Amino acid sequence: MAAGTTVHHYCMNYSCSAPSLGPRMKRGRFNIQLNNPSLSTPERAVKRRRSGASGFHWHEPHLPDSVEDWGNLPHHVVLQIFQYLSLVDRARASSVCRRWNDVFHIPDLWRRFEFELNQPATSYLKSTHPDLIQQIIKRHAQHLQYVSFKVDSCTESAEAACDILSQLVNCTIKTLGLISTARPSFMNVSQSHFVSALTVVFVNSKSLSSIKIDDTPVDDPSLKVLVANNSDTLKLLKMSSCPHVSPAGILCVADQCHGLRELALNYHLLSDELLLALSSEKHVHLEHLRIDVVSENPGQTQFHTIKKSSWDALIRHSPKVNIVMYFFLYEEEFEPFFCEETPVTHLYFGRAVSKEMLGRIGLNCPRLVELVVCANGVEPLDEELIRIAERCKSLTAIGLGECEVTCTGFIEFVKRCGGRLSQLSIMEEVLIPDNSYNPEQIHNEVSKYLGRMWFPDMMPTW
Amino acid sequence: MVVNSVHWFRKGLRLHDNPALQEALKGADTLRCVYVLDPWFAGSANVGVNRWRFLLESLEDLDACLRKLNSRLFVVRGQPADVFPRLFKEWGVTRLTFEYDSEPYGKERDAAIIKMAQEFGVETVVKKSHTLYDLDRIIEMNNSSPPLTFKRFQAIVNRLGLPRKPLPTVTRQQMDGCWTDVSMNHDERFGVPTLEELGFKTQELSPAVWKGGETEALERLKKHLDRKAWVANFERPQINVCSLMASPTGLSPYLRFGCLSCRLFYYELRDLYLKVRKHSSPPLSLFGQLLWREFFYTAATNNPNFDRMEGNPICVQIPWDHNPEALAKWAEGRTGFPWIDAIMTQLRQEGWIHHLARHAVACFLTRGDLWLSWESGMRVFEELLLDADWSVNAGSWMWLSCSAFFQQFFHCYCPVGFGRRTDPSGDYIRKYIPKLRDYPNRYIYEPWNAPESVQKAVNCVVGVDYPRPMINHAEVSRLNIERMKQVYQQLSHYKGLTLLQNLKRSLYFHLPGPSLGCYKSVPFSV
Repeated sequence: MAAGTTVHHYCMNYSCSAPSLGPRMKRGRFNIQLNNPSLSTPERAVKRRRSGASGFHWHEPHLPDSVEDWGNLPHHVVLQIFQYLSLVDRARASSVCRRWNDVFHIPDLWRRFEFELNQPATSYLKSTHPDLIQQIIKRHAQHLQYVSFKVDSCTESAEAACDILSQLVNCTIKTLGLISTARPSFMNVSQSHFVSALTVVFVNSKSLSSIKIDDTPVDDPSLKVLVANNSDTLKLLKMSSCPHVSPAGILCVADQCHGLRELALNYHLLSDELLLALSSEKHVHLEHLRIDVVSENPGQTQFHTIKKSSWDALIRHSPKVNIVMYFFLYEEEFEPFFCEETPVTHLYFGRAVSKEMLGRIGLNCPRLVELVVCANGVEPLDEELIRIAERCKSLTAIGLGECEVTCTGFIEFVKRCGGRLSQLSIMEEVLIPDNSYNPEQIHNEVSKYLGRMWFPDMMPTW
Repeated sequence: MVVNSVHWFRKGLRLHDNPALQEALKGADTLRCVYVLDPWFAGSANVGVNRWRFLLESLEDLDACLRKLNSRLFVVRGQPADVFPRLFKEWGVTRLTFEYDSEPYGKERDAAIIKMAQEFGVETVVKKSHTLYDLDRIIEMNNSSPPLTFKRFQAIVNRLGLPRKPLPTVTRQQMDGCWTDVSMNHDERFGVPTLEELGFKTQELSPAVWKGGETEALERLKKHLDRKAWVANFERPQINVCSLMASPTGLSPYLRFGCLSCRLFYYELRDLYLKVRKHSSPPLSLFGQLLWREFFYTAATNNPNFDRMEGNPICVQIPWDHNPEALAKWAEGRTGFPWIDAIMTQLRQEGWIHHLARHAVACFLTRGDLWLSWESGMRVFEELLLDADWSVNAGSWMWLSCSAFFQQFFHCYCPVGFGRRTDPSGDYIRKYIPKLRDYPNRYIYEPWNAPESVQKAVNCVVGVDYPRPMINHAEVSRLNIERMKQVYQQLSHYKGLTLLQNLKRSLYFHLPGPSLGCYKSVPFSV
């Protein structure tokens, strides 16, 4: 595999399944793939094998002058056409004539960019060509508005991302995303290097609206800089698993950035003060709050509790807010949670979750919309599920992994939920046959109550 | 007109239910049964010693059965494209028969052989008997594309009715009609090679747990049915420690090599069910194992890129990590997670693991923990697993890594919890990782959590006698869920179909796409 990827390493990372423009600029329908991990088509492979020669013969000596002079098309027409081309094709087109070259460098085409930084030893994916990166920094840094960096698990890639960030001095970036596609390689960059690169953008942009910096070594001082320069414009901040930030750091953001609508952080940063700050009169309605609850060492972390009054204040201020909680804990660590009414809407349990916890959820989570349980013990969850069906009237989606529910209990659950369950994902092994039903009959019953055809999820039994 | 038949064994290593072999016998004057062995493959890392041993045992068994019918098996070394022209001439072959191979590589190879045979004036007869149904018919009935969900596949199979009945085994009378020219030096020229001849060192090889061959397959079938009848329970049994061990009635390797006809198995099961349950018709789930196999064969038959991510139209492009060191730890059972290591040890030693064990290690390698490509896992299974053929192996790996067919990626198997729930006694671990034998049940699935005193007392200190866990499961599963979400969020036609995606799309985060200007708002939920 490694041998194969070296060939691709420095290829342009934008591939488009539409073949490149010929001199006639004839174009039928495009099938543009936006360079994302989507289903590939065989044409992509073909595309890469094309040679670099442009092969344009744009001077058509037998055509009359003014009517079909491609070089004299108005800028906005060429711009329209360029928007359908992949970056590679656009780059080739830009060397045809001055007009086309001008259009290639029109600021509008450089508002959005995704830098992909991968090393052949750690990734099967291609990287943005270093020459292109240089060109962007030299000529288009000031045009960039929506930028993201996708890095693989190699520290070198994350460092390269930081180097680029440090050079984006004259820009007005609105959206910034630092995304690790495998291991969190930003965490291996030296903290000072990372922070100084990030603050370049924070200081210079002055109109940052959305920032995604999960799994990075961002710290409280950088957040202060962010706030000092962008408090009017900040709408979204995603910073799960940033271990160098403290509750005070994030509180500073909530206090000053009154337009913040979406926030993602870890539980240790959540505090009563934070919820109250997000509910202050000056603050807009919060739309999303995502909280990751992660175990550090089993049994060693004490999780603090949030007062019911703080949650109440949040809901009063933002009645429609989605509160999403992801739990990655050991069974013994669930004690402090959901002992009182909690307005969570989406719950995900990434490891096992105890029967007691599920029982408390049924009692104390009236706003629950979606529940996903990876695993449970070996006792059936009938009672707990039925209670959830009865008390969580907004529940529309549920997923059960390694759990156990008797067929009868499951049907009772579905009966109570009825057609409001738009998502019901249960592994086949979860359902225990009993005297009333066996796995063959169950899907008929469940389909009846749901009002649509339903089957449990399956894994190959080969 | 003299008819000199050659029957070419590839899979279908059996004399029962072998329509192609029957065709070879019809009106033939001479018959030779041939197996073409490419010795070059023995050196390749990708077929392990257990697979070779099983194959050689199956060939020995075929030879023994043919001997009883006054014939022999001819094992010819080389590649089919080189071997057949020589044999056609030497033996004056007029008819070549073989069982249809639905896999894309097989179809290509066979097309070339058929063309070549035509040039030699050799009649070719190909018969389908490796699958229950005609796979092309299934595809046709699904609007010319293979069904990509198992339920859809079952619905179509339901409409097809019963598969064709298995043919009886070749009889002495049939064979008496034709003659096999067996020379004095047959064993030298055409004998079944030994493992040593192929370059394997056999001194330290433990006896085979799964013995190859049609005879063994039919005995196992009988025992399998006896056990089912005795239990009178055709439900899927709950898994316990016994299910994890190699079963004396297990049949999957025999189905793969064709030592057992899938149609025979189907009808024997069906007949037993009808006898025991008297009035009910067997549900499709009774044939679960066979139908899964059929499903993957159907999905793969027209897709030459079925076994890779790039260029495979049904496979989601996931940014897997590339880490040969981590892959080696997984493949060699050195992850530090006893459940995973025991499974990989059983796989390497015996060549078979229970399907739930497969789910556990496949999830661990790919979307669950290591975030490595399913293709690497597939290659390890190809080397070690007796019943892994191209279609089923690739298909299962794509399924288990959420790359195709299946997208509920929240279903994750914990390398500690899942093992403990499956076998609370810990006996499975103790059998395959003897070093951990004296660990108490409380710690045997997570020995790193045992106090130092306990570790010293059982003479197995983590980090010294047994590896430390190679990753922190809680941390990586959190990361991997995020990665999978990222991937699936960018697939617009999966919108809303998977859990963890139902959150209202954020209007405020626009992931830039490369087609600058052709701006598409990519949903991004918090």
